[in-house]
Amino acid sequence: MKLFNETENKYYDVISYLLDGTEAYSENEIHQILEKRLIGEADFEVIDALFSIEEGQEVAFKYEDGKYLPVIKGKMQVRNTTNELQAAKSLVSNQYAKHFLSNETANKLSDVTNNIESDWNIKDIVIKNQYKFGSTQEERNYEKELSIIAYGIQEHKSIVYDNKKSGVYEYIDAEVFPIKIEYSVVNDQFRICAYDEKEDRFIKMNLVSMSNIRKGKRVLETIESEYEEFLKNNTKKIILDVDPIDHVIERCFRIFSFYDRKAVFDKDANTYKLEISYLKFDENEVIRDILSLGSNVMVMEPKRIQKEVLKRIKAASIQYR
Amino acid sequence: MALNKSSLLIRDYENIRQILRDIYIFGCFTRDDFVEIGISGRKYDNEQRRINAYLPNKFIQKRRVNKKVLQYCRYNMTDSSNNYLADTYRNKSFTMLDIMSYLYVVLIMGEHDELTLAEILDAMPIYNDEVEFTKDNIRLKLEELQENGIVISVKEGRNVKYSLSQDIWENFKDEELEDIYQYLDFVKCVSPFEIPYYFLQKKLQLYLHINRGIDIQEKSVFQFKQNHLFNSIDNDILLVILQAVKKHRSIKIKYLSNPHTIEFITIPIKVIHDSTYGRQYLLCLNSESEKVNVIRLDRITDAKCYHLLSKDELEYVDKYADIDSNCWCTSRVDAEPIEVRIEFRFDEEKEDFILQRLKREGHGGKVEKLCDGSFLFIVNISDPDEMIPWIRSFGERAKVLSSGPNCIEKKIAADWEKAVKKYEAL
Repeated sequence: MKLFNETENKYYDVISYLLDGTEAYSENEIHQILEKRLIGEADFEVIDALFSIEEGQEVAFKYEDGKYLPVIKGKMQVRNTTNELQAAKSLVSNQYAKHFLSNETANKLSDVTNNIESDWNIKDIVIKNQYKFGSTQEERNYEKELSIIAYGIQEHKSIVYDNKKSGVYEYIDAEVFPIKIEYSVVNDQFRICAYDEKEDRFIKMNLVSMSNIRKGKRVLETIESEYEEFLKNNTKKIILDVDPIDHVIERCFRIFSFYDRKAVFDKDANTYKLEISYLKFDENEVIRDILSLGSNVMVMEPKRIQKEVLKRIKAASIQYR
Repeated sequence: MALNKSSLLIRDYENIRQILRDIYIFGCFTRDDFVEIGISGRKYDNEQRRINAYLPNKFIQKRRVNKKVLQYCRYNMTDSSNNYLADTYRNKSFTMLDIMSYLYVVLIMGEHDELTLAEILDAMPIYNDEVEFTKDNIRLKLEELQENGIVISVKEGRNVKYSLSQDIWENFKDEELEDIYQYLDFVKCVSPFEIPYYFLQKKLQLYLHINRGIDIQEKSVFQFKQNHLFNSIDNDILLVILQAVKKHRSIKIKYLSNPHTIEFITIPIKVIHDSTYGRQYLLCLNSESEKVNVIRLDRITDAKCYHLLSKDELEYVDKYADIDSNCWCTSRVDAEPIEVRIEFRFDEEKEDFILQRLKREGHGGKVEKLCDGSFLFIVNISDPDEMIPWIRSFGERAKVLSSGPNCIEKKIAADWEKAVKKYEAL
């Protein structure tokens, strides 16, 4: 089965969604559902054809007395395609399964996908340059903890946890409001972005250092708007000049692809300018990546980082003399 | 109104691939720049209009620079973890016969355990004058649905009976399905092969709505770093390669080797995904010359499974399966490893993270303490040049002592010196 397949088309999905057993839809209800479920620009040629009100032109709905009625009564049966079934099967042996599924759910998934024949194996893709000793190699199972944190995020509720690093810090029964679970593919580590009300600040913690995580009782409804404000106030910008060398441009644009970016190619001057927005939390990582790109990528703004990079490059250069 | 008048649905994903990739990764090229690299103005206009229509406004944007319009994507990990590029895979063109036969067959078969072709044909409603269901076209559509996994068939004597495939979610509790949905929210963004998981999550969401009356909120609890989403753009090619590897087949490839596209047959060994830059490579073998090649997946414009591998060819695949084990990533897969010695100097108390980085990122290299604040790192790598960006990322804390004939210490020293001069000239 090809991946680019019409059964996965968004219009198949939206019509199936509408055929959920509802007896009739008003025009307004149809429009609302289309707007909600169709990502991107509406294709009126397709919508008009699929929701035609002309007799002899109907597809899934007929139009009677100002209402759209399904041409066949009953609920649409949802079945997975071959590619989806194979994806479901591969979820069981996926190295992250233990962090998301209980043994019972994983066993059930294993049972129902056992007879599915796969014509591809995700393990034929070898991942390189992902750091060792990350969550995939972690003996601990994060399933319950991630579930508690996700619940806290969705319900704006606190979590309680312990966080100890021998001789460095010790937090027992600390309480924070989780906002996001951050996962770094290269680091293979989960970090928790949270608001510490006691210290009135947003923090990031490695999940591996947290233990005894449980649901808290407190609710902070304003947490999302406060986090948005925090993001606004703590987002920094850096402008890079990138030499017009194909492999340099490519590596530079790819390494920063998960940040909000804006780029300009000045054809006459043959230069690329890349503006990256990043959170202050991530500044050291940004600098590290800039250093990795060497002399072909220069920091133009802000001057503070330009000075820091120059200081480090000078120190690096001197040691080879 | 007719579906064939739609200018947005497309038959072949290849139509948008290159332009979409450049818009997402670079986002700094104008129409003229695309014309200059050989894409006709008309093709650019059509495909950028489609790409624009497939993606949400907040993700794909336009701006004017030097009086020219640039189209670019705005991805910000803190805003959303959505892989919007995956949405482009949901625009495959279809005909009225395709969609009506899909909907009617699935709805009709939902009411029966099994049906023959004649029974299905009898039950097909007649509403649309343009689409006439016949034995031939329904048989063809049932075959396609079978190939797609939606329908199964059993031969009973002379009759073939059709039924819907298994509902795999039937015996799961609601909470279990919600856990799987959350798990998919993660996997679809971090897997090197994202689209099948993205499709599975969309279908599970539909299942939860129709079968359980649950409308899952789409807001993700995750944010991701280094999840190079642009690889989704090549997932259809990647699927063919993975199928060929699994089925022990060669592949016929069309490869963009600027300015031409070349076509060749090769034996796939495995796919390599580089987490740092998100590049994907095919490690493959020329059976005649017994030479192992590494080719970029994003340069492949078409791939088809070809001949079944012979016993000899399969032995080659086994022989070279781990040929890249000494590579930092993929460079010089067949070269003998070279010892690289690097001294790391740092404040052990305040900068313990450097030591942790060596242990985690150092490809199994040995770390030996020389004295307080000084460590020797030794690693054997096929092509030490490929390590240079990693070494540079430590800045002044790393000094390469030796690297065999590659002399990367000289290259790094010269590069640092060049960088100092460039900054001082500003």
